[in-house]
Amino acid sequence: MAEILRDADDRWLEAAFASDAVPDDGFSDGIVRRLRRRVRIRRWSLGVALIVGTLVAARPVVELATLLLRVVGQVAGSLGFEAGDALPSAAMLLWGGALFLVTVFWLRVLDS
Amino acid sequence: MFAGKADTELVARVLSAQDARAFGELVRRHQSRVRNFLRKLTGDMALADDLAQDSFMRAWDKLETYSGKGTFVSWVMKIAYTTFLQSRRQSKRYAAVIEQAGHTADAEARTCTIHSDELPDLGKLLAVLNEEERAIMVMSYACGLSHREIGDVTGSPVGTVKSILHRGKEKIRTHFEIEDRRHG
Repeated sequence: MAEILRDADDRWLEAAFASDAVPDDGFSDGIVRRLRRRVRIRRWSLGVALIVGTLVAARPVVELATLLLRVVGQVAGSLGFEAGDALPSAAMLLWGGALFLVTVFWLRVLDS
Repeated sequence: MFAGKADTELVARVLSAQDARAFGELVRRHQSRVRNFLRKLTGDMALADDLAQDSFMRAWDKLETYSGKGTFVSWVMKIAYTTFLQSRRQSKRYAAVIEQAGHTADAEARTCTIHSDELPDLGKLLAVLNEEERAIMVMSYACGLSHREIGDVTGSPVGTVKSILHRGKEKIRTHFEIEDRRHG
C-alpha cells in the first residue's frame, strides 16, 4: 500500500529514470541460436562419450563374461549338469549387451 | 505461437522439452527491462548487452532452480545483478568503464539547483549515488519493481530496500537542491 502512495518526489524520479523500451533487434534470436548450438553440442558429446565408453569397456566386459561363464560351467560340471548346453555363449552375451546399450542410447536421443 | 501463455507455462515447457523457442519468448518479453537495468548500472551499452546475454544463458542453465514463487522477471533480474557484480570483480573492461564513470561523476556531482518541474540528466543523478543505491533506485524507478521484488533480487529485507531508497532520494535532494515549483 505504501508503494501505491508515491509522493511527488517519487513521480519526479520515475520521470527522470524513465527511458524508452529497448528494441529486441535480434537479441533474443541470438540467444536462441546460442542455446540451440549448445544443446546440439551437448547431445553429440553425450553420444560420442557413450560410444567411446562402450568401445573402451567392451573388451574387459567380454573377458569378465567369459571368466564368469567358465566359473559357472565348472560349478555346474562339478554338480553333474551338462552346462554347455544350457548356458549362453560369450558371443551371444556380447551381442546382447551391445544391443542393450544401443537401445538405451537411442531411447535417450529420442527422449531428448 | 506463445502469445497469451504465462511465463510459468513457458518455463514449464522449457524444463520439460528443452524448448529453446519457448525460452526465446521469455527473453523477448523481458530483455528490455534487463538490458535497461544493466545499461543504467554500467553506463555502457555494449557491455550491458554482453552482460544481459550472459544473464539469460545462465538463466537457461539454472532454470530448474526457479521455484515459481516470485515473478520470472525478478528472478532473471537477480541473475543479471549477480552477473553484473561478478563482472565488476573480474573484468578489466568493466573496471575501465567504471573508472571513466568515476571521472564523470566527479565532474558532474557538484551541487546544482534544478526545478522540480524539469528533468535532469540521468547520468548526473546516478553519479551522486553509490553502486548499491544506484542498483536499487534503477530497479525501483526505471524497472518498476516492487520493494519485495527488489528485496528478492538483492537478497535484502524489504526494510533495508526502503531505507536505501530513502537514502538515495535524500542524496539526490541534497546534491541537486530541488527547487519546488509544484505548487506555483
